[in-house]
Amino acid sequence: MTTPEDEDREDAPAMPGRELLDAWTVPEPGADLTDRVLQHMEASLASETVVSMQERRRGGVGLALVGIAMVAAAALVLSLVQLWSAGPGQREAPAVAAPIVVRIPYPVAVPTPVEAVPVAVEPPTVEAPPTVEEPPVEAPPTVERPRKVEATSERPQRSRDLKNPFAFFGSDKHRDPAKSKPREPAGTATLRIRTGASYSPATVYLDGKAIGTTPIVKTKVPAGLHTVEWAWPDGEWAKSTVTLEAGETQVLEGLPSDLKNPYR
Amino acid sequence: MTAGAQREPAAAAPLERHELEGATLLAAQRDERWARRALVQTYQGRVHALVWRLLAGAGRRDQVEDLVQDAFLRVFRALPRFAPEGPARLSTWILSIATRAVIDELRRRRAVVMPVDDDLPGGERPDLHHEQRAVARAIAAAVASLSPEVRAAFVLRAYHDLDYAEIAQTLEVGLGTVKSRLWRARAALQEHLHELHEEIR
Repeated sequence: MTTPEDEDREDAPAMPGRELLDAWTVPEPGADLTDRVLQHMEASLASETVVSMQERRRGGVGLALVGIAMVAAAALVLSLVQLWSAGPGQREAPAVAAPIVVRIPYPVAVPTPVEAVPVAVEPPTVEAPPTVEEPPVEAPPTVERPRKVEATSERPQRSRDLKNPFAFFGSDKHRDPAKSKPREPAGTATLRIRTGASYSPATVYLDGKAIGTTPIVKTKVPAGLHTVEWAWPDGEWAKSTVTLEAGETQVLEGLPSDLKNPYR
Repeated sequence: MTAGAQREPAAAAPLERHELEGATLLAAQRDERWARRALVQTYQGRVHALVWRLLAGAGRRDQVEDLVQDAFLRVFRALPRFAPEGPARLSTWILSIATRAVIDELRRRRAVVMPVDDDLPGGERPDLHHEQRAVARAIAAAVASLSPEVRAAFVLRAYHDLDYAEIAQTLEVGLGTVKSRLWRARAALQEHLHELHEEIR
């Protein structure tokens, strides 16, 4: 289609005639070009699928870790709430006729003794007077039969101050939340972000925020899960999700995984 | 050369306008291997010619074919989202993707385009008349002197019969920019062909 207002203008440089343009011939493509195109395409798409599956697997592991951390945090909060809500009278352990205290040789977050059905327990093999303690490095767990609830007095002194749940941790800075300092960040990691060797520079978005154009030699990020996206000026786009440990350095290379359809 | 012939080169272009059948296109969008092959066979000639000319006829055969492969890879990645009922012909859509692939390559590695020398450049056949070869060299030299975006506008217009709106969509620029680029391309061609004419005289 010729546009009269442009090509037909008097001062417009003339397009060479068809006979001149046709003098610039093109060599025939190789006879096996179709096969090579299809092989290249299938190999590339297959490798992209592998990469995509690996990324998905990494994402799954990251989600599992986050889930475990959330469950652990919820358990900790619940135990602290229980401690906090217990009245002073209730904090004294009830006098149980024959409580079985299972002592575990490492500190436990939940200070309440574990009660068990006395009849189901074998009598202790060692005749242990209540005042004598087992050496701490015996084979776990050691079972003893304390005479009184004082068996729980082996807990650290700090656990007596149960009005303050932070006292359980025995740290002065945790005794008073008002005085406690903000928690240090979990740690930082380093990302180097670049573009595939055969592609032009791309704008990089880290967790949805533009941070510059490739190559990004070094950027510090908090440890954890991050999303990196590359956007090329012509609409191509790539995305990668990465989980970083504290102190870790990872290099990410963006290859277009998508094309913008200019007609939509 | 008449003025009319100069004004309407694209209309007289002997271009292959065959398009893939709708059912084959749908099968290719479903990743059916036979349909993918049919798509490549239908359009590889046009893509190859486009890539070769955008490299100003100076690309080695392996460079050209690598870019053709890259272009088709991009095509197949995007193919599921091509709308057959949309305004674009499939050929135009594929050519636009191939054009962007070549422009990326030209921006990244300008060394790929080497000056056209007096030896037979890749596209010239020994059986062509001497004067015809000289004209081909002049056109190739003119195209090589243009920026990737300008040469893309020229090649799509002169050799692939795209209209201004299609070129604008392909290059993601406005209509005015397309006209301005074509103006520059025609001026460069006129200059090189004029020099050739002077030499022959």
